[in-house]
Amino acid sequence: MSKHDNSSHHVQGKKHNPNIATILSIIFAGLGQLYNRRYLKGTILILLEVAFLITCADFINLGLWGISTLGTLAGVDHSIFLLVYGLISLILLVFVVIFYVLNVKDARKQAKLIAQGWQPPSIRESMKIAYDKSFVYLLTIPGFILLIFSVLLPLLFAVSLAFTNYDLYNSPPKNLLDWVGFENFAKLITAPLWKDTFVSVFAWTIIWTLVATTFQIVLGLFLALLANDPRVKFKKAIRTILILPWAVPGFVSILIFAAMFNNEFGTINRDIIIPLFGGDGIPWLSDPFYTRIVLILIQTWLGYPFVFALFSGVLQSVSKDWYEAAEVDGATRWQKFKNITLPHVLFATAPLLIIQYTTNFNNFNVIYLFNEGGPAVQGQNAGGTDILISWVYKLTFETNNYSMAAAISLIIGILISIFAILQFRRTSSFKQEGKI
Amino acid sequence: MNAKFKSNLEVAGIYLIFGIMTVIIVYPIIWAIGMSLNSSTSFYSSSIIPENWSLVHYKWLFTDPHSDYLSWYKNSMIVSGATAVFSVVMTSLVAYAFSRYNFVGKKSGLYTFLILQMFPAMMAMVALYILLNLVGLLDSLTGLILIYVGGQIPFNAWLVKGYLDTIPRELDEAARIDGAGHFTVFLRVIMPLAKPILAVVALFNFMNPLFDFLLPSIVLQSSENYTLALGLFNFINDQFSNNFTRFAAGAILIAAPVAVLYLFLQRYLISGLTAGGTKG
Amino acid sequence: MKIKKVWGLLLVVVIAVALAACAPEREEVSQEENQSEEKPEQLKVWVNDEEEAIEAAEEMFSNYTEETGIEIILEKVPMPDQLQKLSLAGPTGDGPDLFFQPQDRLGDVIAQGLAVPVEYTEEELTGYSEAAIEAFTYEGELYGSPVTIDTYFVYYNKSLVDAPPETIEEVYELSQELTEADKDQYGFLVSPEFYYLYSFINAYGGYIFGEEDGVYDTSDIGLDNAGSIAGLEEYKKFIDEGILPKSLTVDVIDGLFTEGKVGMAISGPWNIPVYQEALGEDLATAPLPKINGEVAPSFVGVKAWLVSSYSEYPEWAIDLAKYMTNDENSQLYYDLTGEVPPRPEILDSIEDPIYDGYTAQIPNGTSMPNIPEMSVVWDMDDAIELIVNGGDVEDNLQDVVNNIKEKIQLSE
Repeated sequence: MSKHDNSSHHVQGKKHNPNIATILSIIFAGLGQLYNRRYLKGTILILLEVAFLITCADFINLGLWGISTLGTLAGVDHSIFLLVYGLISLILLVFVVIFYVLNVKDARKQAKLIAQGWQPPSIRESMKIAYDKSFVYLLTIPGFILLIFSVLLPLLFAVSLAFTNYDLYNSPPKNLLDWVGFENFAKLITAPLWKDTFVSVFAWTIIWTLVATTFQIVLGLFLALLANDPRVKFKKAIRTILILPWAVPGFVSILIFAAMFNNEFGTINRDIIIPLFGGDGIPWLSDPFYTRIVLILIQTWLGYPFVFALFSGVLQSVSKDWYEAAEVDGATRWQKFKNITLPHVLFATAPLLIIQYTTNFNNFNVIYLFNEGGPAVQGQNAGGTDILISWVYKLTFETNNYSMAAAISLIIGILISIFAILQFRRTSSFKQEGKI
Repeated sequence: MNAKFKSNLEVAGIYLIFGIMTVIIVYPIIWAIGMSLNSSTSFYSSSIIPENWSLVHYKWLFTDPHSDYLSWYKNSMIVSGATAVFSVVMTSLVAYAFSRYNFVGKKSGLYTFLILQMFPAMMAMVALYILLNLVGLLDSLTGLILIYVGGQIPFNAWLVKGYLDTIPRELDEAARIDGAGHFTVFLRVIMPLAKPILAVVALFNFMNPLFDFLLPSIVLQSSENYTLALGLFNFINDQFSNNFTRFAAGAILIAAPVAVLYLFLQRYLISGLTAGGTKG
Repeated sequence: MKIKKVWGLLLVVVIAVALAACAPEREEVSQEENQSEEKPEQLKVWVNDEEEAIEAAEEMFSNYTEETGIEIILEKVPMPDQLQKLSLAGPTGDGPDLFFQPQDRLGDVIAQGLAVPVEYTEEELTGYSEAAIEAFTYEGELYGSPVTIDTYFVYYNKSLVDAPPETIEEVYELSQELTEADKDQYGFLVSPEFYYLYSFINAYGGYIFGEEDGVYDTSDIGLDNAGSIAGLEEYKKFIDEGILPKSLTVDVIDGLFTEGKVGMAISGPWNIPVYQEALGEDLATAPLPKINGEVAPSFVGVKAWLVSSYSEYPEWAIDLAKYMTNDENSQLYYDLTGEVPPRPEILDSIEDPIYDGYTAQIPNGTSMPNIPEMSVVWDMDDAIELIVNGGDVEDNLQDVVNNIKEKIQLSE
């Protein structure tokens, strides 16, 4: 059949009008392709569009109506569901429009080529070409779709909430939500409750992120250096033990630490501090200063094995020649470390280290499970060790002010992503990425 | 003589540090084991190993008719296993594309998602709930697995891509000249060489669902569908009567096999993570 | 340039379609239609994830199925998670017909419209104690079938304490006598939480919200008045004297008490089986000692079955709830869980002496405000923590009350 098409094509070629192909493919996906005599492709496109219209049109209609109104009948329409449906519809629509644009472009391009007397390849050949061209999309699209729905959709939803009036007294299904624009952000700036505490919580969040993460990196590096020493035996056993904290579920270790650090009844004060140093022990859980120290130590305990594993490998990859050359020059061990090992190791692992910092910035589990952000601090509505995320969590569930929590989360997210983008840019890998 | 003595002293110092670290690492773990042997429900105990220790909590987990521990264990193995397998497949496909092909979004696609995932989104789970409900996967392990597999892609694809970039392109080209198609190159040339990093991805994705209780607590409803972490967390998620000792017993039974797993995968873990993380 | 055009086009199309979207057709659900409800084939119930409660529910359900032919699906959902889950599962049709909540969450339930009021005849109402009905009445409507009523009271160890002290002053003396902190030996333990210390606060005249005709005035908070201060000063004496450890938690109390190292402790009924197993014959209970020369009040918690507003068979759901809280089944529930039902009939018939303190304390109980604003009042725990660690009582109470007021304002 295809051969037959090809022969008649040549004659028609001159009359073939790209504009007609364009218009036809706009009217219905695939019509332009049929006009171009790409029957198989045209039929597939038509079937795709028909299938889409049958299955999704109603849902998209509902979703779009839902996201623009957030429901009109209190008690019947559920704003939260409508919002999510709306976001899903928007995502689907973006897919559709991209598909449509590609369809129109394809029809026009081929029509032009045909008009210039181009011979379309046989179905077999064109399938091969299509496969070559689209192979990369076959690889990425399944993952991409999963990503859109498991990462992007929830995030869009959380962001959208910041622009609604969702709180306990106005919560679905009993009530309907409304879009309120930037009202929540305005409130955030004016309400003293948020403003006063924000600064102190933010300051501690930064300290926590920097110190805890740096500690875990330094300890990981230090132990990796020691374990990499050629004189050390039983390397495998040592590495296994050092990685052990990673193998225990985080929330289990944190809760056990909380029990161990109890001021009067925990084993740390009872069995270690008091017998060794006397006195009443250290107020681990009731003095913010000590609680902060313990939290940093715990996070170091939890977090260093990853860094250790990472660095253990990197150290093996540092070329021996460099060290030998340095030795010839009479460099001390410290100089070797400072000028060869450290730059190499840090440079190589920078992106992973940045991710460590950003993870700790949002490290809710440690803060909340250890002492629920406590101890309390007089005159402040966040606990002495609350970081932004745990503070927002508490506010959300105490005052049930969901849209406000979403607004704060959004601000935190923007701050942290600016930091991450700047840091990623600074590391070479980001630049390399563009070159490949 | 002097240099040798100094060297020996240093080695001794290194071992001493490892010794101290071992104590710091093992002490809480021993403590947890002691807690699991305490026959009462409170985590408080006057000595590390309780005076009248008993295996009553372990026995309860396995034999009591109200205990769903075995089905939790089974669910967790299914979820973790499936997440690990599908993550490896999905991630290697994506990473291969990013490493070897040119396409729209290649430049900053992965980084965009890495950064998006840094947003703290406490309310985000609600959207996942509604989505899963829409496609009929609520209260099912499948839904949970899909979300885990989707969420892990950016970080792990980035790791694997870094690793694949270190595999010389000449190998692909040689295979291609021999007539291998896209897929053959991927399966026969690239994948075997990428084993270490894929082992890392598998391990990460086995562990993550095993330790996570937040997502399952939203997605799963019936107790027999719970995963281990969620089931255990519910032991201590009560205002007045927490069952810390039973919690400890259940937790130790997850930590032990995982520790063994780490032991065996350690070599892969270190080499894979290094190559992947450094060139990303 | 070109890419921008494509995106522009995209945007235009998306917006155009969005504007074209119109309201879907929905049937307005009218409540009146369901007057003569059909008998359902099955009902779904969310039971708190607790062994004994599940056991009790299973037995009741199988009896109910036998009587009515309705199959009951039991889902274990931890009580603290039920509301959030219901707000999601209800609309999708995966929700239960009955769920289980304590009265301090009732405000949240109603604000979200998750439960429907239940109808009780006068006669049926007399079966319950008044405090329990009051706890689940919100703006004049009753929202649940009360299952249990609990409060805290005194447990004492007869091998250390002959008879329970009558007044807080006697407790103080007893405590001084018995306490040897370095040996972990204590005379009297109470967890430093607002929930327990409310007895001290209330006995001297502190209160949470002002109340008029059953309506709470959230702008009137009495937690920093002279009474509250005096009450916590009284409590603080124990701390200052070193006879009450600062960093107590309920877990530590349970651990110490079960090891037989504590003369008396304040805790709730959930510990009866735990303590009994550890102490056996030595365990006894008593109502709280008098504080400020008066009978000490305590918080009463009531838990009830509520009918989900998403239930398709609310009438049968109520029927099941009433069935589960009738005398016979309340007795069953008590037998299996040891939790006391708010039914005078059963309260009177309890003969086990271990319940003496519990049943004696219940009439002195005051119910926790069941309005949503209650959730921020728990900030009091922070103030108490500061006071225990040496903070000034008055300062801290004033600060925390200001915070509470601000939060209430913010959530309105």
